Amino acid sequence: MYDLIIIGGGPAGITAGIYAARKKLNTLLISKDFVGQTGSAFEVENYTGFKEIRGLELMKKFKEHLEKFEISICEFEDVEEIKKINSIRDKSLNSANSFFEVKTDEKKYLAEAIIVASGGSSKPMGVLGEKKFLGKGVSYCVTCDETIVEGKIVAVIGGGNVGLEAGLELAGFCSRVYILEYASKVTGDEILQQKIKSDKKISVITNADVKEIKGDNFVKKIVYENRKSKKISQLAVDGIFVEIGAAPAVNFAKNLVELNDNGEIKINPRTCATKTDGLFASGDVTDVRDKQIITACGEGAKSALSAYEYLKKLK
Amino acid sequence: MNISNKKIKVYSTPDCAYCYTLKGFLKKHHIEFEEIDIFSDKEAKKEMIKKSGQKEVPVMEIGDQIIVGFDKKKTLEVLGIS
Repeated sequence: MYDLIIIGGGPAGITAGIYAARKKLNTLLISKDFVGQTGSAFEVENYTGFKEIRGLELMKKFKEHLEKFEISICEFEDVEEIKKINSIRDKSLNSANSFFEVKTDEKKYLAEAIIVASGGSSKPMGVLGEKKFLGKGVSYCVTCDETIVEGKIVAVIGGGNVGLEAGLELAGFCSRVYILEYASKVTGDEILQQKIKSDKKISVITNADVKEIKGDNFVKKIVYENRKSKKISQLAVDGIFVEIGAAPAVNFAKNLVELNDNGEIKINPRTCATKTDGLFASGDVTDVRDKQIITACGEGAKSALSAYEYLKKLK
Repeated sequence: MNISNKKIKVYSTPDCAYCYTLKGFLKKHHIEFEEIDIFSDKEAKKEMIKKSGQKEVPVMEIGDQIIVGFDKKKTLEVLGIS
């Protein structure tokens, strides 16, 4: 029986792990990987202390920091279900009157408190041809697949920070980059918008509702509708990078938490508590407004301190 | 140790998070593999696309089998790790 199980190895989960270990909680951190969305980020230049750093390098540093402390880690395990057990049949477990059972694809683990910090996974567009051409020109990871489109024409779907950063990165070695944004204007940081404007290889197309991806063995075209004029257009492209945000990874916990309309876990913003006593959540899986690395770390710390207070009351 | 006794190649790029995860997973299971960086080796990039019929990394070649992406279940199965 652990005091605390943290689910997720991103900025929130790792920071929660550091805080829990410093409080000497008997903690297990379970994660399918230690890269998450941050690991696929380009130059991160808004994490204090690092003027610029590749996302994967930052994640390596986070993990190295975590490993300094006494904490159990199960990497490469996927959490499938969390159950709250309300009565104890086996007194040898020496726990309070309720505890949690976490089932992964390998084992079952028990703990008195849980922090869900499982982040999110890339959201697909859900358009015709997207699945068919996955890996054949359609990608959700620019840092993984950018080398494949060297010298080619590509489209980035999404004009938020990640989409604009992807466009700038790709413009470094692609012949032309289109950024397609569904809304009437891009929403990424102004500093990125300025860089995009001054890059002659990049064209931004707003009000673009992507309808279909076409090709033969590999992607050849993207079809979109202008949301205002309703005019259908197509662009000849060799690669399409989808950067329209992330879907919260919460299926394994959905019976114990309340979700908002975006499928994010509703938390008490002061404590990261969910509707289930002893179950906390932090980072991008929750309904916090800002999905940033630095805010995820802060939320992770907050959730660990709240879990600590909760566990103290049980003893 | 390479449990399957088959030569294993991992096609990857330096910034690819899933490649990093796959390599970490193989190391955890003490599986020896040859790492091929398709960012610096353009011929290897062509070879990978030809063999896998697609363009994503990581690609793992185990004997005559190809696994695209980090697929834990399939990797364990092909390598015969229980």
